[in-house]
Amino acid sequence: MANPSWGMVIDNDKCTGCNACVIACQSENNIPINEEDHFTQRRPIQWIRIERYWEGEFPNVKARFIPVLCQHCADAPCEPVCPVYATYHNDQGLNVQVYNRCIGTRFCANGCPYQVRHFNFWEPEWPDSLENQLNPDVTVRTRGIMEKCTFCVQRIQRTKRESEKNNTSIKDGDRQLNPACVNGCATDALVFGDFNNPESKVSKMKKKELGHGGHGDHSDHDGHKEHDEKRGYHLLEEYGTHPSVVYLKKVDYESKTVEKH
Amino acid sequence: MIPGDFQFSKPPKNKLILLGVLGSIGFIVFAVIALIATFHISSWIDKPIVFAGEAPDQPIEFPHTIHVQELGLDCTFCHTNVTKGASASIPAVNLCMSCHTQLGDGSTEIEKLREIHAKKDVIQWTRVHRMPDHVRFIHEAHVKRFSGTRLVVEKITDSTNQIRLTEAKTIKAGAKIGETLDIAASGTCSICHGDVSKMHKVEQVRTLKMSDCVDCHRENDAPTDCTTCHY
Amino acid sequence: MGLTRRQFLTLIGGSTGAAVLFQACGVPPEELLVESSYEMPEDMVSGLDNWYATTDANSPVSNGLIVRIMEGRAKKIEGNIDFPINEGKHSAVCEASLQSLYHPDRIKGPLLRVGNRGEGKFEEISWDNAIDRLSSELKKLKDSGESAKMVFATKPLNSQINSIVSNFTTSFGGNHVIHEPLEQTTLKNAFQVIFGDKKIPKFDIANSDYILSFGSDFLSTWISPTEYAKAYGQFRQGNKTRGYLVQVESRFSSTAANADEWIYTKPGTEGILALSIAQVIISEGLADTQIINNLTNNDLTYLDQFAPSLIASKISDPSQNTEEVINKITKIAKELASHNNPLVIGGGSTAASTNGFFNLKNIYLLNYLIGSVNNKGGVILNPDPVNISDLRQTETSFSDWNELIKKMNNGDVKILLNYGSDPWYGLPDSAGFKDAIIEGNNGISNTSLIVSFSTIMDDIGYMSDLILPPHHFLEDWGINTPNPAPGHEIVAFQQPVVRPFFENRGEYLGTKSFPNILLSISKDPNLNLNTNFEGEDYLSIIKSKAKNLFDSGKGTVGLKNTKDFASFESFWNSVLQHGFWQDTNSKYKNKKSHKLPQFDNLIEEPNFSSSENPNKEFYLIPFESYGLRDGIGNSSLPWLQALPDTMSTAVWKTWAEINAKVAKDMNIKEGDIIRIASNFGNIEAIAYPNPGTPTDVICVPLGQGHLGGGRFSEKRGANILSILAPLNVKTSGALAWASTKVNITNTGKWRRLPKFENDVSEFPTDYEQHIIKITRYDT
Repeated sequence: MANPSWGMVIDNDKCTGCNACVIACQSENNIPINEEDHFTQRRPIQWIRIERYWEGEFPNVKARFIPVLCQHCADAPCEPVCPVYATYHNDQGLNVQVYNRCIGTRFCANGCPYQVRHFNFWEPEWPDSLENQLNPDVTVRTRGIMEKCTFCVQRIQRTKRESEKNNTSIKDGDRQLNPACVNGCATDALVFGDFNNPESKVSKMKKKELGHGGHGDHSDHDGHKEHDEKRGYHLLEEYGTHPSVVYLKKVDYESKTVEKH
Repeated sequence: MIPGDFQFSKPPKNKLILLGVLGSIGFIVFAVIALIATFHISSWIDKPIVFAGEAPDQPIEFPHTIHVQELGLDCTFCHTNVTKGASASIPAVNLCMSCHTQLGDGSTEIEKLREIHAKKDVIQWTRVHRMPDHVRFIHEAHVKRFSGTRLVVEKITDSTNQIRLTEAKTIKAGAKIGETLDIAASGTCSICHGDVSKMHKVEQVRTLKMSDCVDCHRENDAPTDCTTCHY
Repeated sequence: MGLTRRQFLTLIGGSTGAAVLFQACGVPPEELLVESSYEMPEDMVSGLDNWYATTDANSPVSNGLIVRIMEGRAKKIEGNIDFPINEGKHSAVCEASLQSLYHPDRIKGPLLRVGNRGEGKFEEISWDNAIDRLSSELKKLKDSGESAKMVFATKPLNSQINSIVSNFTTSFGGNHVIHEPLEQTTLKNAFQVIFGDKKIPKFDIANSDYILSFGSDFLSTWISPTEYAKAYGQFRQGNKTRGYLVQVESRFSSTAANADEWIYTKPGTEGILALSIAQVIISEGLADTQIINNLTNNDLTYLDQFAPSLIASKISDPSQNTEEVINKITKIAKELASHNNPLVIGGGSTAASTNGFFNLKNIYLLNYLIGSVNNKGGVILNPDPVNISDLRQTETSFSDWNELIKKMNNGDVKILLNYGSDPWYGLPDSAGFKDAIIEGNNGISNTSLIVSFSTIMDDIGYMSDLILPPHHFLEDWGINTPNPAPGHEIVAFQQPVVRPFFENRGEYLGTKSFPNILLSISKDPNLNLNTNFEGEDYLSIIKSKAKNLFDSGKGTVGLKNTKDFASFESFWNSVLQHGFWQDTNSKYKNKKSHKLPQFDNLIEEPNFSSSENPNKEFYLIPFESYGLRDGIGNSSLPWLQALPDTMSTAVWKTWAEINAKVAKDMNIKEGDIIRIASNFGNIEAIAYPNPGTPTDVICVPLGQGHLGGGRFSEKRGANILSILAPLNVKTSGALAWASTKVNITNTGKWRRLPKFENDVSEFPTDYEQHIIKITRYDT
């Protein structure tokens, strides 16, 4: 069987911007506590973040949320700039960051248009007993190296190992396999899976919302004419990075007074 | 005086001597530091990480020789988790006491063990084989990979007890190529840990550095992707 | 040369260079230790993990959780996928309870105050000593015939603990009271009147196709946000038509931001809007005639006074176009009536005006009008909790607390016990609780003993004389009936997934199970309490309750029917493995006695406290942020402190949301420290001007301004609750926390607001390149 190509589909229409994914990630991946100073110095570490955009002004105001994490681009701008090959693309579609190789040049962070790479400006600290919570499956990064979303590779590796042991194939949507953010997302806005497996949920969603042919089958709000517009897109796709994360457009009803785009 | 011209007055003699002395002291300090650094760096290149060739003292002397070689206990008898999970696991004091409540009277080491057991205390062993935090070594996967295959050793070099394996997976049980390793317990363990059954004090026999891991992975068609071990 | 590396390093250990190098390259000594423990239970084997099912006992919602245990430590919390309420999902607050388990400032043993009250000086004493002190004080009170002067304050508990506390308190002769800052008393009273049942019903958001929500930020903090958010995902992009969400709220909350339409109303006027919607539906004949007649007492005309054209200016901001507002109300009313599975919900700040009960009553009555009660996608009423125990809900409103504080001042409260709640933090200063504790009427407090069961030195803990630290909920047993239930009977079980963290401190120090402390005190022969507990300790009580379930033969555990279990032991094991018991066949039974109320025929206007300068006053709307919620317990956890707020993305501080244009007019920019002053006090907060906040409103989050709570919450920000006016909601007596008016002044000080926004530069924002692409449908 072909190697998997891990990826994610993020439905902006479901995301409520609640930030539950951020904490789930923090707890799974031993991300250091972001202290107040880290925010004022604009250096907090969040492998997944919720961006909030304002649109309009009161009383016709809207706010949009989008979860942004490492897109695991097939043509990642961060990879060729690393002088020590600490970041590269592996055969499973993951953009890998090797902590023990990283020397902290931060070239990759400059190269990343999604700004999802985070540099450890401080030695991470867990006061006293808080370190009891640290996940033994994930390396604790030291000061001076770059880190970013791994699609919870520790869970992928573990599931792979278990499936090899039991001679089973990896189940699509297995909770042991899903990254922590996907399991934590209350609205199921994040879906994780293998794009190389045509039967996986993400493949089907991608085909339906991004692929050619076929029609988006969501029907419209009552009484309005039908739309068969596909909702899928890639973040900043004009940069040609070929991300492994597919976003689905948010659906909005706009009053007649505003020109339709 | 022409602008830009500079004058060089000859310094007094004592200043020159001082300069010379300071210079030589500086050079010596630099040389010493450089030597130490060289020694250090070179040790990283060709020597094991911490304890290779050393057998640290343990709070209780545990002779693997007696338990494995003489009694013929399997590694998994005590290191129960080695076939189940990442860590091989160190046995609990209770397990030791399942035999040593009766056996081994008179030995000072076993008295120590009984004392600890009576106090419901823990034994704090000194770790011999240690992987740094950024390495995920899964015992289970390695044991599974090699179980059922006969392990053949090319040679054992005297100085570092380096063991090299060849074509471990292609050789069927019973075949004899080169020198076979005397495997007392679960054979697979000795690939990395050496012949523990012959060790009075356990020592590290392989460097267990990345080159060591990667060589073996290559020889056995194991994945060499970074995320195999680093995440 | 026969020199090993270690020997070499020892030899040159004296030289500085080598020492530095050794530091840099060496291995920390603790990493070279490996222990043989005394015993090796499954959980302690390194490298192996196990997931155990338990229940989130922190909130009354009681979400089912699974906890990953590795080497005896809890590593990760996730939702229990089989649990019918949260269905495998969990909130940030649940996740962060790992940090309260391993909090560096967790109280390690019983503490006795040594300094003056409120000085924060304590010394550790043994459990025997601590419990003796408490028992002897209780005995003294009882002997002097003043047992009514004992008050036990707790947070709302849906668990067996509630009945133990109640049982303990009543058998002593004392008074069990509940405190939560944003109380649900009004909501529950409204449910009682409208549905004939105090229990919170299930809102079938997933199957609804049109939701009209008044003031309830249900996607973020209101009642059971995880459950609602899970359903919201289905509501948006499920297997059916995309649902349409209208949010009516005075604040631009995260639910308002996610709604298809947000309608601003002046605080407290939501009930009027609901009546207006009812008027349109009724006058246009869009509802069932029989229902209309029932709801209006056969008088179709009295509602005409609420016609949209008559009330539009009353509810909207002067800047809004009245014509537009009228059209909007009419449109919503028509859409609401024309959908098959509509749902109307209300709560939050809507319930917290002085006319909150009026608001909620007319809002929830709309559900009857549009026929969505016990209808798919509507309000599903919950059956009575299974009769396993007396899990009665004690209720205490703000006016009850006012009475209590009066009693404290008069010396009628001698002993105050506290578990889980924090009246010191949660009551407005104007209520006088702080004075009653510190001084009383005559200079010294009449409440001679305050005992707090706190895991961390929280505010009330600071003021306590004795602190008895209980186990964390991950270390203790429990049995809970979730409220709201998922439409059928369910009992959630809680089991200790880790050994108590301070277990190694021995039985005289460390923490103890809270119910067991009460049980052991109640057994004190000197006290002579007649408590009738069904067991010797908490576990045996829980087991006896589980036995009742087993004996009833109803329901299922996992996929297995209760009656198929061979023995109670196997039933018990299965219950612990799955975390809950449920009976999906149980349904709500109509109560015959319930009489449907009618729409109000008079407008009840909200009252507001006045401020010093009425010309420049703002409505103050305190709100809960997703992470800190009401700030009790959560604000001591660094994960939640550092969690960006949904709308402002601010962290770690108290900020004030203010409209950007208004702020500009007032010469306030982001980071300016502004003083928010009501007639009852003032606080300072960092201004966060934004385009979403309505012009006449200022919104301040709860959660900061703690006296205690450990290193992450102490003396951080300000407590907005402290300046609230002591106004009651009519009928229910709850604190009307959204009815204070405030003035704002710029202090001239500035500090950078810690927030996530702009920490990464924004993506290109022109329309075609916009990061969030939007499919726009015109209406």
